[in-house]
Amino acid sequence: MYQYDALDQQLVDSRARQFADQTRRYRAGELTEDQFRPLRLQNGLYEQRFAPMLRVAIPYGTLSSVQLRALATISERHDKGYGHFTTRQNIQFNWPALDSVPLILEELATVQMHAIQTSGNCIRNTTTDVYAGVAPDEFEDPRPWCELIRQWSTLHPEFAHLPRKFKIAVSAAKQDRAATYVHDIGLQIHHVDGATRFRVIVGGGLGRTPILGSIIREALEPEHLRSYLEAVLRVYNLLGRRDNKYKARIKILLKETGIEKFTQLVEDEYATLRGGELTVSPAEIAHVSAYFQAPDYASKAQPPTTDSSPPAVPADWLRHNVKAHRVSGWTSVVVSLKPRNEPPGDATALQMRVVAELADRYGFGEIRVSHDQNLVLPDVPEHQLGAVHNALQAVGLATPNNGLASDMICCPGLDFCSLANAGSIGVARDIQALVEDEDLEQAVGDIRLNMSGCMNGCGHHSVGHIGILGVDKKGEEWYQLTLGGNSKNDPRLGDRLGAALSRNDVAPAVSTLLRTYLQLREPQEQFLQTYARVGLTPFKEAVYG
Amino acid sequence: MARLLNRDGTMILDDPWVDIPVVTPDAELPEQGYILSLENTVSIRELAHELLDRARGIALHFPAFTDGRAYSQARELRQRGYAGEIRALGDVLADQLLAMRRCGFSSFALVDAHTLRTAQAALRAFVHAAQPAVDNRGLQTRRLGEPTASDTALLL
Repeated sequence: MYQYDALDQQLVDSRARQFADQTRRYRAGELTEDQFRPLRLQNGLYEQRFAPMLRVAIPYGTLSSVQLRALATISERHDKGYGHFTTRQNIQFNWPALDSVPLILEELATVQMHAIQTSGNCIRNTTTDVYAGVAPDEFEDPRPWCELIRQWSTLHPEFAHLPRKFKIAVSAAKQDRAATYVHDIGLQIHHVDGATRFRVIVGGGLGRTPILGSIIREALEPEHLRSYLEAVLRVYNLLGRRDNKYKARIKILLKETGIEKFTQLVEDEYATLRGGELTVSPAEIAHVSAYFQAPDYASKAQPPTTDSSPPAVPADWLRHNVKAHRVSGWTSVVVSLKPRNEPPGDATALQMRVVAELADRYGFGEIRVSHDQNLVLPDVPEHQLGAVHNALQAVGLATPNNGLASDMICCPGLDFCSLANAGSIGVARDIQALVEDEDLEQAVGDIRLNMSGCMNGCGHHSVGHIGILGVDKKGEEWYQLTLGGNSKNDPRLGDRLGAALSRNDVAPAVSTLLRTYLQLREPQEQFLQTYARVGLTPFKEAVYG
Repeated sequence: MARLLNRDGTMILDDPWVDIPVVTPDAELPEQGYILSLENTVSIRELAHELLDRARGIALHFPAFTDGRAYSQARELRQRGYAGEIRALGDVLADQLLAMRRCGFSSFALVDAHTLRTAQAALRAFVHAAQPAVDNRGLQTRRLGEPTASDTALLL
């Protein structure tokens, strides 16, 4: 993985010192609340319902074992001994004290980490496919390009006060696992006659106005990637709406301007930047790519020499949590952060350390954070799966539910978030319990259930096969269900099922939807296929009678 | 009255703009030259070359420090080759000065509440940058080895 050079390190160290000084000036009354807010947000610090929340960047979801151990230590030293992994491949600490934040940033800097631009109206953490570099269906490794985008966007002087936040995702495989159609910019790397090209998708997003992005460039040459991104950002910075924060994302600008005119504006700006100092030289991309060379798989692939047979690998865990790897004899393992009765995406310090240890022992010291809030060990030899399973199981990380109904994407909801209208963790818990108790989960198989506690949509409900949105109605928590959403290939926004349901009716309704699917499906048919064939009506009738 | 700072954070004692008329793009242009004041909704790309050529300085505005349009305007002005003074007016806070300078601003009207000392420290908060901008065009090659002297130009 990428290693900081002297300049990266100096930049992050300087940033930690700068924020310590800004915090001191805020405490001393030299900065007003309004002046301090954007500064703290651009260092990932929110004010939440009970305490501040610090969001730490995990660039394109890649962590070293050293970094994961450091996060574990920080969670113990400055928080309550756990962290929450997010859909944007970051980690959040929910209980740090304001005064300990500069200290946390300092500790993060020692392991090449930071909280820069994890919040605020700026370019956020670039995300990508959790299986980048190991996926069998990949055209090429997206991580060098993600790293170039990370560098370009880090403390970019022109784009620190955009109309609203800005998220970039990169996919480089046949299957889009980075939700590129629901990001401000989605980049799909593909090959044209063997040459790398970027499909540029702009103006997607979730939140209260979910919209799928539009392709504005089909095959951008990679050397011009940064120039093109800068052109899009500049057009957005100059013309994006600033009068209403709910209409300030680039998706609204694109919609109000019209795709043709918007594309023309970008192309005009790009014409002034193309071929300039942002051009990516072959030497530069070669230099960055060198950090992402495949590890020496042969060195670790030898089966153990002991006579005893390796521990058994449970069939359901193998089926759901073990993924194909591009190198024969190797696999990727999904470490489920969705055990029953725990908030989705949470991991304790002990669990983080165990995962770090497994990454060192069986892989190459690398861990990934997935878009659906699990961890992934990208490199595990097939013959060590039993050992890895047992080690994970010992700390509650071997729930065999990846991609199943209980593997919900879920925001922190009303329990933590000051924006939320409704609880989400408790509802997720009810649903998990019901689908497991009723043996629905295995029968249904792969399905994506997403839940958000408010319209901001952090739980990606709009692109859940089944989406659940918490809403406030006269001080009571209600839940709106949607069907048929999808963030992968053939992306689609969910359709509203009907009137909002009361909290106690949500889990039974989800159960009814799943049963209806089981009754209606043709052999081998996935939920989305059945839904596309039969439409909303049978599901609606089943739930509302 | 806001304090005027040079791009290195030192005070401007005799403001060269003091006797120059300030005009907006649609006004009649004085013969002896003028300071061009551009609202942050003005499209730089659509301004006539002549208008820029004769300007003795350009004032850009931050109605609120969170409104970042003038950063892009400054970059577009420099990209068009404008070499004169670009001054930041409005809600100009110490913590934003470095980004302004990197985008091509060459003087700042700092709000009263922020001290000269804080402003100067803020301008020195970073020695390097991760991306090229107006003040460090050569930086993109930094990944290939140690920075050259010109790459570290951020520290004046």
